[in-house]
Amino acid sequence: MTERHESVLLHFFVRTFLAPFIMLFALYVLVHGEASPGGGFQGGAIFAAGVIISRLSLGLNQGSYSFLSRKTLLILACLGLGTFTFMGIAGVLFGGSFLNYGVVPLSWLDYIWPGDLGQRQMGIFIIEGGIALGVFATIILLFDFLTFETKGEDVP
Amino acid sequence: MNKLALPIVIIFAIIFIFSTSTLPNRADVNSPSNLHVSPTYIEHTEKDIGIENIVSAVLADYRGYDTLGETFVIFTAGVAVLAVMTRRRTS
Amino acid sequence: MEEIAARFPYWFIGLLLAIGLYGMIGKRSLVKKLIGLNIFQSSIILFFVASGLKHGASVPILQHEHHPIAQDYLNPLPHVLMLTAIVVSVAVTGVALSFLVKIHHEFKNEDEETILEQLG
Repeated sequence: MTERHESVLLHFFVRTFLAPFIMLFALYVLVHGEASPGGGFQGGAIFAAGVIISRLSLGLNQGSYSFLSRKTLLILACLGLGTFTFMGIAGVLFGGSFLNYGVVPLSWLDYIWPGDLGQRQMGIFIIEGGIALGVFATIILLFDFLTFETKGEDVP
Repeated sequence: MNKLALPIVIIFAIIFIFSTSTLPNRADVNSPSNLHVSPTYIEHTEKDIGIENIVSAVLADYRGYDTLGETFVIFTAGVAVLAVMTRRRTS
Repeated sequence: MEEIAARFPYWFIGLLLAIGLYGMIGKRSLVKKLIGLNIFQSSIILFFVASGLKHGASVPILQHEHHPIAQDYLNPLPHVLMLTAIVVSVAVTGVALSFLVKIHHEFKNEDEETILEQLG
């Protein structure tokens, strides 16, 4: 292990400008996935890039979103996959076919998030969020396991 | 084996480039892949789904099974890396 | 000249396929084999995306018209399929890299023949 050369400018630049703006752009790509190029896979991958770039430059410390531990990331990946699968099963429960979002009553979400989205668009929006969560957590999980050594019996 | 690799690759590339003469031209409007199902997606997305991005509509709604399997694939990759890189107690 | 303009993406993709195949079967290092696999996947993705091109068409995002014509928009299907293929590529690369890390811990190098000799 070579000695780490700390660079104040790099820390400041990455923590203050690079990572937050990459994440903001990822949210834009995710939320506007229905009207412009974008969607779940892309948004999740860009969001993961924001976390990975801070971990590449700062290591695993407070500035690089260390609250996203491996256990948390695994739970997030399960949550994203579960959202997608649950929306698929909800179509069956409300009398449609599997993955048919048109029959799921989601119009009450308009009170929380005003907009003239129909049920089907709201279902697509929810599963895009699930995909983004799953892709985001899995990419950071891959990066963490391949980059930082696991200590002894430190099972996540 | 290493000596054989280059001739094999060159023969493969020549066969591939000759076989492209039967493929449709670049940017051909009437190529078979542009006439089969994609006009249906383009013309019916506005009415069926109601969102502007046709790629998102096909990804999330028309071909939702595909995307669900895809999410399972990447989740499985994450779990596989977890299983490979985690050190066992007994080794 | 028109023949060249109609064919050159396929030639370029064939070149990339050949480079990727050579990386997979001609190189001894396992890392270079993985890089060859990635180049191979990228050429397949380029091939599919190139097949979705239409002359004089715009990106597959509807422009608020009530009866869209299929000739005005690019073929969205290859884009969707390749979006999922890219994710498979990421998953394959991640799992392969984890195997490579374990192989490096065990044998201290990535050379194929040396590893086969050590295995006996």
